[in-house]
Amino acid sequence: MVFQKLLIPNFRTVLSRHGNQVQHQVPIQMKRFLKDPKKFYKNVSISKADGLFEINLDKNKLKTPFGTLFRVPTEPLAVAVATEWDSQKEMIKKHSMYLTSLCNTAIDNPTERSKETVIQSVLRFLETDTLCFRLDEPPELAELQTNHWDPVIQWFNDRYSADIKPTTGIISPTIAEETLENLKGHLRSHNEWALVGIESAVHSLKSLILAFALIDRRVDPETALKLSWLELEFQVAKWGRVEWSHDVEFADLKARVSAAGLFIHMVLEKTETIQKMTS
Amino acid sequence: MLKATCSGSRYSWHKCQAMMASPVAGREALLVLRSLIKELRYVKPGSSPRNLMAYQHIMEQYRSNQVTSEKVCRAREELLHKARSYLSLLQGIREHEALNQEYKGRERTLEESANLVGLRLPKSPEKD
Repeated sequence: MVFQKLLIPNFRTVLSRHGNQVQHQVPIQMKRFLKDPKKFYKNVSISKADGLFEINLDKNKLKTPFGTLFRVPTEPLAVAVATEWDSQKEMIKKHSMYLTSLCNTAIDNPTERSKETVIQSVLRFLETDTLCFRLDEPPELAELQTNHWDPVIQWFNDRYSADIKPTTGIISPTIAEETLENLKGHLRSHNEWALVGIESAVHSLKSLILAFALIDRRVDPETALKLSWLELEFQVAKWGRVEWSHDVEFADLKARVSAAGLFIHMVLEKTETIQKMTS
Repeated sequence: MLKATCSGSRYSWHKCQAMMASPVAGREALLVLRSLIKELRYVKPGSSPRNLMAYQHIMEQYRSNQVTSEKVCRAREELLHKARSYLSLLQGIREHEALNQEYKGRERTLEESANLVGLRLPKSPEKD
């Protein structure tokens, strides 16, 4: 709704000097939206209202991108979000506020998906789970994958009564219906907020099994990411690390996975509070 | 038993040495706490991290988990996992920002442009 308004022209096209290459400039309204705003507040505090926690930036209450009042179900989460806002320097780096984004997504549900749709999309990741796809050469890598990934799959199978087996082919292994139903039931037991975090973890780790290992505290976020990056780290060790690519991406993903894990654990037992928020 | 500590203690993590009863898990928990406090210093570089809400919350959590007779305490494991997660979150954000700043593209300065073709800028006379 808001975005459609922004796309109505003021488009300006510019013919470059090198032939009739047309460059579209970003419309002015969108530029304002995409630019990092200046830090417009000095003090960040939290307040409690109706059992929920709000963030105050000076005298203003924080709102989501949709304009809804920003409210979270638990105090630790509110403190962490407040710290994100407090740690901004001259400009507000929205991309670095991972917990705030997760909360915004949970509150606004911008894609307007139902819980069932989210669960379906999360489960689909199991078909292309990183841990299930093995290489048979080089043998050192195959061994690394066996040694590091097999125990995690074993744990997952035991814990969730599943029957996941790795493959060296390119075709997704078929997963038993019973396993899928089992996992669906398990995901359904989580509230909508936890699912936002779970989806984020699965996307960042490129693996549902690793995300579940993170949720069950079998691994910490950095270990989970290193397991997800097993092949990449192997290649990097062999062929060289590019700081402006590998390290930048690793740092970002580390923050993302940590934020997702933290977020999930902070909202896991708050189904009642969260249901009250949406009613 | 909690050791008596002076309130003006600079290194507050010393206080926590008494907090964690179990040796192995306690040691790691302390290291994580120390790193967390270090990271929190970057949140507001001017002031002490002790003024931050996050600091107070973390210390509260550590304090409330100190006295347990069991060697393996589930609550303590959960706390440690949360602490590790928050630490890697703060570290990841800082590292990402630092790397971005370092590798961010910028326009060449006049001096660099001149150096491209082997020229140097003339020395301007010093202003008195």
